[in-house]
Amino acid sequence: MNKIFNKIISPLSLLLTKGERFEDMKNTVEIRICKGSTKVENTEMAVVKHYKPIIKIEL
Amino acid sequence: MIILLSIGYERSTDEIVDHFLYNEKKFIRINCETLKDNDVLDFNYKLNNGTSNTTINGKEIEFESKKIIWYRRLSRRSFIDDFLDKKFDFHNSRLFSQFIFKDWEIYLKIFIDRLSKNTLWLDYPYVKENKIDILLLAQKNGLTIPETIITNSLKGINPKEYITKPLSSTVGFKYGDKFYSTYTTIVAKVKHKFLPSLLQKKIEKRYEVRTFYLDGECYSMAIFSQNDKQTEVDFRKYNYKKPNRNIPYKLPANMEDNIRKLMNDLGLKTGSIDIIKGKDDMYYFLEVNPVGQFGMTSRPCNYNLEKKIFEKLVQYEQNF
Repeated sequence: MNKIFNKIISPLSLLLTKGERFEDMKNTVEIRICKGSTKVENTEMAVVKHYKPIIKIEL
Repeated sequence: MIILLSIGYERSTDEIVDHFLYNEKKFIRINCETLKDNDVLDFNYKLNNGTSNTTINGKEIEFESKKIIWYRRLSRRSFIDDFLDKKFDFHNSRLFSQFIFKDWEIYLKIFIDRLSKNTLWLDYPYVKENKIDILLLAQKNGLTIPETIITNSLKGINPKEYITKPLSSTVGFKYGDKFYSTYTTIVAKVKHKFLPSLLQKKIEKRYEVRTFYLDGECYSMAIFSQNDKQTEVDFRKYNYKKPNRNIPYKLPANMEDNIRKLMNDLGLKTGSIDIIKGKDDMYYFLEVNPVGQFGMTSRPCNYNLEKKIFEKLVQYEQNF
């Protein structure tokens, strides 16, 4: 990142940001999926019909 | 008509929807990211005579009728660069993406404006005030704010005594094999130049308070984040292995009054407010996030805020 900051002047908050390795950020979360939802590109959609199953995914 | 304006896979919205379903109360949920698809959205607005017709998934949205709209989210972060082929170099793909996002944002504003006719918003999605305006308004309304400076120089400043955070909102991004997020950070001397940035005197804290404000009521939670190195400057650097202890909390009456005055000035009926209780026993107001993540306050404190929001929407509809 230092190479970038030599050329681009950024806010201080960004300059002081320390990255975290993806491997250290793994966490299991629960999400609920809308029942009757359909896949549009890379996101799910549903206007009214609702969810139920809770699935666990690992980020 | 009650409309929930949100996105798909949004847990707080889903939980509010639960209450609508359980109580067999009619509502329309609009997942805004799906509106890009004209199989979903049929929108037709004639400027010359001011008429418009809109259907979403075949259901007509009547702009003229009375509406209560609970706003949660308008968009989900998405990346289109993956879909662009190699004929685009970096600069042109950026211009291409910016144009698409900008045009979509302007359309959303038009859509929101059309929806706003005969509408009571909880709350209107576009807040005029920025972080600095809000701090000044908070101070005007009797809330104490930390010493705050906007500067592009650390001259005359002991960096360790200050924190910095974005003037806008926090952003997270991937670079190489790491993920970077602009959390609140203690200032340190830097070799590089930096843009005028927001610096605040670091408050030695006893604990943090997160308050969810709902139409005059304050639902507060104390977060004991100060004893964990990982969370002591910003509790959002969650320690999942040993989470901070969170308990229901009651702010002093004068604090709650001042918050009410601030929210009235901002024209907000809901918001999540960050406060620090200092070791000097003072309460320091940090910021308001319109809407905000109220699930994090609702669950640990058993406030059942999702039910309260549902009830508030029904009450508004009956009295509108």
